[in-house]
Amino acid sequence: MVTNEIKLNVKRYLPETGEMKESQYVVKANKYTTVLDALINVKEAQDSTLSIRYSCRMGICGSCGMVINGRPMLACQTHLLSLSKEEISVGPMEGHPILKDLVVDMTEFFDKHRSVMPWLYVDNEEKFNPESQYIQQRSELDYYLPFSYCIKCGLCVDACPVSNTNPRFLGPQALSQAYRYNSDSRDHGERTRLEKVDAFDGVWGCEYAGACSEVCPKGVDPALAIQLLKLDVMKFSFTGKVNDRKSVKV
Amino acid sequence: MQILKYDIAVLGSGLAGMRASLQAAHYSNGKLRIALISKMHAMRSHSVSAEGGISGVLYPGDNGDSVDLHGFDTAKGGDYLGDQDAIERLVNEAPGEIRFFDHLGVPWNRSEDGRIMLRAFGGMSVPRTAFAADKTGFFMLNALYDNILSFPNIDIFHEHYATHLILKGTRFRAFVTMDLATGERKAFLAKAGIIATGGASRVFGFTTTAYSSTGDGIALAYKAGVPVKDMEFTQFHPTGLIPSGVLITEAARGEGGYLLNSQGRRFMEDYAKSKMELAPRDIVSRAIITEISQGRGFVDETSGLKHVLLDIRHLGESKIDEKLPMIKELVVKTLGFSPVKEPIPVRPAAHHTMGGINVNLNGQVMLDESTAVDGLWAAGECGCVSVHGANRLGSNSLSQCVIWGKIEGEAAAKLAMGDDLMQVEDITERLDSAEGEIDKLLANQGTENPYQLRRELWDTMDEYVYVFRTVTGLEVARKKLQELRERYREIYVSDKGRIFNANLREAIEIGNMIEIAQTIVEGAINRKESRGAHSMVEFPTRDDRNFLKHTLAYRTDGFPRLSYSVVKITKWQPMERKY
Amino acid sequence: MGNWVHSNASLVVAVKASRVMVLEYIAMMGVPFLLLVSVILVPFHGIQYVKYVVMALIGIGAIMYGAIGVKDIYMKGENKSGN
Repeated sequence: MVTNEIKLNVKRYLPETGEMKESQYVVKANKYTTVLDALINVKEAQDSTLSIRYSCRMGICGSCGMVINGRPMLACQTHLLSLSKEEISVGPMEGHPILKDLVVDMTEFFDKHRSVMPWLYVDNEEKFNPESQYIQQRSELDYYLPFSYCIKCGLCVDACPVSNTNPRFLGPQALSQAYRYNSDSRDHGERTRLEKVDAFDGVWGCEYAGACSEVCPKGVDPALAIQLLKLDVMKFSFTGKVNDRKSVKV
Repeated sequence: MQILKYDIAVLGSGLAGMRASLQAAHYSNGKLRIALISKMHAMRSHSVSAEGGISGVLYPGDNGDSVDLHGFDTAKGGDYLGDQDAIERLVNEAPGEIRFFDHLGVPWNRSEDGRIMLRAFGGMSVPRTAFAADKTGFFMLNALYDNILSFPNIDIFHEHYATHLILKGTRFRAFVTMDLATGERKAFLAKAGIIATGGASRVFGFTTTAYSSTGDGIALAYKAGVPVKDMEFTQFHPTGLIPSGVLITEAARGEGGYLLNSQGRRFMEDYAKSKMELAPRDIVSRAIITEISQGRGFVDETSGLKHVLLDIRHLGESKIDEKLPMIKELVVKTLGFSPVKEPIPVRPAAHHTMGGINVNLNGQVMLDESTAVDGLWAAGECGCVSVHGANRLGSNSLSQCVIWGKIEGEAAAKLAMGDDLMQVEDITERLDSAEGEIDKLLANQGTENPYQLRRELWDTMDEYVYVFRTVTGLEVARKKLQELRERYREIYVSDKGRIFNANLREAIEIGNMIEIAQTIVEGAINRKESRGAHSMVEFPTRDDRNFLKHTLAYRTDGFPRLSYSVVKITKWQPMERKY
Repeated sequence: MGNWVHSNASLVVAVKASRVMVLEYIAMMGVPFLLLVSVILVPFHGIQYVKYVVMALIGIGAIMYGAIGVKDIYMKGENKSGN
């Protein structure tokens, strides 16, 4: 059994004093040990005051986004040994306000998600008392499916240079979700959403750095979604028409 | 302490809790103010990890399927311990709920004609599980969350950890919570409360569930004097991924995967010839452990865990990519190889709590067999309506969560629309003492590290309360748990800060887990038979004469006090359970 | 925090950003294109008039792009201090 000793340099924010400091811990790692395992191990045995947000440890709940060796990543999906370094630095996502240690405040992030009206526009009576299912072709499913994988971990916003310099920018997560719902053949809310995102801090804030798609752990490609959304916004703004052919060309 | 008054307070933001909030918001036409309280960010609840799908007879007649057959499968799968009036309700309402989620935006897998596709699942006679790849729970939960955002009368309280449930006589009054972001204590006073905090499988170390599935809601009710039902029935999912138990969905076998022992044989033919790998989970888990203990398993060198193999290579890459993409991703990211090329190492892992808070058919919390708590319901995995009996069939849990979420949300809304909001004064003292307890825990000058207690709890449960249980093993566990409970009084919380004090939250969780584990062991030691997921080496057969009854466990200062209640049998008389 | 949704709503109603952005995009792609055209036109004599028009368009485009750029920077600067 191969076990290595690895130094973890954890960048911590102390809310009581408002200072950032770095703590170093030494952890044992085998080929299965993830950064999250190591941090939990630190919390259990070395320093219980360390705050981490974590839950599913299988990359689907979106809790453990943090910056590992300078790159925004999910701690539970990153193996210590795969980083092939003896010293690893871990810090909070500084693109969000920090609460404590590695835990960030996502209130604003969630508010932006809500502001793009991310739900199917269907009459509520029909929605709550459905008599039949929708018929949706596979080509229609494939049209929005890749954008529906978003786990709201916040890594894309942390990586986005525009979000980091302009806090009003809606951000890659919210915009990609606007596009996801706009692309669903069951939805009837395109106009509302297109009007909403047609703002300098909306879809036009995007400078196409592409960092969001680089770091997305679920392969959502928000950058692509935003560019496609720009086209839809232009079309709607100048012709008043929305994209009504929501299916992949076969 | 900050006092917040709501019409309805929903504790827990999984499928059941969000479904209840949504139904209440819609039913009241925006009139009722609803608080959705979650100890995590609402969309991160453990329902996101549900993979395989949701059961429901969408197309009666296809493959000879019928609602009645679904009911029979469920009753038989649960070894006839399920209450059959509840089972009938489950199977009747399930198809409507799947259509509802179609209207919420779940990207179901579709067949060529554009209809929702169904897949085969363990213990189900025919394919009747609707699915969205192998992320069904994730998609359903996120669709619910997104739709909740469209209702301005639902306020979401992320990261508020509930520490106390306040009842006055037989009336629900309030939840006391701790806002993690600020450390502030908040009491939610409401006319109606719904507990939907999920199961408690984290009392086991090797589990498919998230670190957050600590059964806090079950413990809240238990501590408030409500009995818990059938806690000894913990489902072990046959295919937990080495090394940490991450779930490999049953759909992998539903789509045609094989289980192989070290001789390369599909050993399930020795245990369930007709269903093979798609036998109910308790049977498959026992088969795996039997193979391993008879020396036909593998040993993982790094973790030292013994396992068998799940082989899906013959399904082909394109089918795996379409229907099991997350399994592929998980195996690649955890083990570093692709399941398209190599078989997956798996062993049984704690997965589902069949038992839970004692509730009646409508999900209303019951103080004993006949006394209901006014204005309090429990939905989802934490409430035991007893649909699943002694063993849950895969994909029935999502149906149960959303159906009872809906029923209870509507019932709570009906009650709240007729009621006046009550006063704070008569429970001020109770609120103060609740706050005092938290403060005391935070200031406690003990020596025990709570995480050490958790480690010992996990080791005990994994060793003695696993798939096969023995009388002597359970006795050891029983003593150990009592010792842990004693030692818990001496714990020390190192983090004394107010902001995001996860240390304090986890300390409370660990206390809850120890007490829940006690109810599991106490129920198990007194059920001298083997039924469904509860398998005693000394009593290998089912004993309907003495044990066709639900266990109720009440909290005492020592070991839990047990009593029993009747099982409702309607259509399906108990018979031998063979596959 | 929390009132982001409301604070931004007024901005959206007041300006339809796409109407401005379309100019920026035309200038962004048009100016380099016209520069290329003007280079190609160099060897052709006797179409002085066309060359002047192209030059004028390049000038207008560059000024437009610059103006929008200044506004962009101003907007973001303002937000930064206001946050």
